[in-house]
Amino acid sequence: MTKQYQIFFLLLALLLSCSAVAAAQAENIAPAASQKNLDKGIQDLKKEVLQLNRDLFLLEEDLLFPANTQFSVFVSIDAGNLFALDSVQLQIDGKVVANYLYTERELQALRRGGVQRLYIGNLASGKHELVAFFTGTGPSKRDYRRGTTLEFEKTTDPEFVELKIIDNKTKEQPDFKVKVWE
Amino acid sequence: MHLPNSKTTLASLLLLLSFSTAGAAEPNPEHQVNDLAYGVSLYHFFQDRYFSAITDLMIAKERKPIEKQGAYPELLLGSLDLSYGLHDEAASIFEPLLSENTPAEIRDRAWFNLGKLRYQRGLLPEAQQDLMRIQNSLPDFREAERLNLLANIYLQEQQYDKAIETLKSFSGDSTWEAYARFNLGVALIRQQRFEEGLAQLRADGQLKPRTNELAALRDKANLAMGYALMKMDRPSEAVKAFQEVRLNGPQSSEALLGIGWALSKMEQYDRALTPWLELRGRNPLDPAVQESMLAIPYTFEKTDRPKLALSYYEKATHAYEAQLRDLDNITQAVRDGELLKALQPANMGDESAVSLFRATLPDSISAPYLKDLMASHEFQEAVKNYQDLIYLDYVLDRWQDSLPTFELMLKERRALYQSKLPEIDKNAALKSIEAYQAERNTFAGEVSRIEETNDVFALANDEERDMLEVLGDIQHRLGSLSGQRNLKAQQEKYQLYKGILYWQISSDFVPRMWQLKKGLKDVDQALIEARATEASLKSAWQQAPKTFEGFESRISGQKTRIDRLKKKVDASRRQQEQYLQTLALDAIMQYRRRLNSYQIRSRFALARILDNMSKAGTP
Repeated sequence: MTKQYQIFFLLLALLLSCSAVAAAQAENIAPAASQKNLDKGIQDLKKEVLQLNRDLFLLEEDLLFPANTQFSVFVSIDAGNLFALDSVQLQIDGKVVANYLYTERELQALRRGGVQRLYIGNLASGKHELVAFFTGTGPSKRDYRRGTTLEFEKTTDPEFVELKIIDNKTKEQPDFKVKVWE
Repeated sequence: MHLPNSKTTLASLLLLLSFSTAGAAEPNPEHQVNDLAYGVSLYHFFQDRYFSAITDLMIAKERKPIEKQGAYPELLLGSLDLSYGLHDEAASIFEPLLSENTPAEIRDRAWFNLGKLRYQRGLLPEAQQDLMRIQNSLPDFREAERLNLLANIYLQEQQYDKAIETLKSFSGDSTWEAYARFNLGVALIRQQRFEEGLAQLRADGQLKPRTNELAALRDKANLAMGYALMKMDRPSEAVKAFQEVRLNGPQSSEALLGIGWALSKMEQYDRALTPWLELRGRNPLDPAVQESMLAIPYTFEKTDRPKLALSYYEKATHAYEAQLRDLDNITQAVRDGELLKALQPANMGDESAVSLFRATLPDSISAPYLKDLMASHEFQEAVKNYQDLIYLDYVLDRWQDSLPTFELMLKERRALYQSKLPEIDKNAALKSIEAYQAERNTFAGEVSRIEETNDVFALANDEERDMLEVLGDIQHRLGSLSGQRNLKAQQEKYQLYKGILYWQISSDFVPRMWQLKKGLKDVDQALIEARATEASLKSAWQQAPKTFEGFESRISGQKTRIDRLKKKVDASRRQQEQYLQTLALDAIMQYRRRLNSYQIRSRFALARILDNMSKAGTP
């Protein structure tokens, strides 16, 4: 083999070894033993921190938002072709309790069926009023701001309210609905 | 800066959750939310926030299990565990879903996930069995992924004919098929089965790419085909293959280098110089550019132009020297933690930073030297673990900061309780319940007496009571005058009026009695409620100290847990940092070895030419 091809095959060897790596690694290669132990340790740690995280969330909720006064508001989007949500403002009994500006990633998650917990707080038993303002871009790319209201009676059970943005295909307009979950 | 390597896109594709990759436009039963907790978990899952999504489902299990979503929450949790690297947890979730009682669609998905999981662990025969058990319920995109997994298993087991057979099962236009074909083509060429390998690569090399990813794969296929043809001593065909690679694509430098070598092999030396000289203007860190620095003077030497060769060898030697000097700085920077810093997310609380990093190179001076390493599965997994540990640390810090707030809140509640306690003891309203009860009892006794004695007049209304008073007065007067005058007529009138009044009241006796009893019942109900409220209040006040104690022990227990876990996370993080640095330093060492080799060749050639020139007497 001439020197010319010795040089060339240096790169060829490099390339084919990379391709082979692509073939094998395309999916996976079992890591070396020491790294495997480290991976196992990290796996156990993740599990433990997840359990701790769960316990502390439960503790926080029990302490800060007891069941008898707990009130949560969620946001969801059904389809979302007629309205591109920018932000939501939530008022309870005339007081602003949440303002939220959405990232594109969060909007995608909502459009795919995810539900966002917008607010959790405490409310005394009795009558209350919820007002939500949605700001974004509506049909024909025009700025759009719409509000929706709910008057409700808070009992001693936790209350879950869902604000839904739905495409109304008949009217070619978005609908903003409020659903109280039992 | 984009990672110019199809391995990256492939690896990231394979790491995609097998839960669902369907977009918003496709209605999907998995995304139909009948339970808010499930919807919230999906929201985090769709943002690659696996830690949060898993926590959501764990909390739901504790609070109120999700019942209206069938087996999807379990499938989601298993897929999340798999993506988050919790392989044991994932397996323990998928296994119960494999029973005959599970709907075929869910069962197939469980087999799929389990097969994938076992594949990732290197358990190839088991993974193969799992993937073969799947019936026909997988959607097309997942079926294509299954076939790709199977083809890769066969490749790793060197069962090439089975891999070729598997490729025939692909239907439609699938990215997975293109990847499987590429991997098979390269593997066959490595086994010296050139014609078969070329056939696979040729199919990929001619595909019409609808995405950038496929365009990159097409380039890689043509490049690999070109080099294989060179090895088969078919340089003119190799040139054609290399020419199919996009000039502005990430593989273009290797293609230009290959064209040069192919032309050189056909002894078209001057034509070979054109692509190599084009490479001079490109990134000097690119191995193809580095090799071309030697190839150019070598060609001049071969075509008897020693002066030009000398000049280009000198340039190459200087360039290699400069790069080797730079490598010293890069090595030191990696040792000092510069790379680690670049691998840390800008925002420590960003739990999805890993997936973002997959699309870009980290902002480190070492990154251009580590492209291949950074595109490798091993490095990406290590970075993922590293960033996961950073996020765990963030979570623990956040809770550590929150615990004093919890304690303060508890303290204030206890203080409020203590201050309200005397008020409760003195509360007049609570004490009056007994007085109300006594009054009620008297009233009830009176109602019984009226009923038993049929005391009609006791039920007289105000007007009737006035009349009864008047009649009583009349009776009194008649009594006092009875010996003095004949009052028979008045007596009869008195009796008549009294009789009328009696009749009037007694005819309404039953409804009036009913009304009375109803009133009594209302009083009884009100008293029951008052007593229940009193009992509940008393119980709450009596229980409050116990509740406070419960919270106190829950908080103090967590403090110990957090401290212990923080130490473990710190230790793991240090180990992971060491591991990442070792990988990077090894890769830099490899890079250095290649440069050293080029430099030695260059210096040797310089010496040789100078020697020849001196022998020939050339100045």
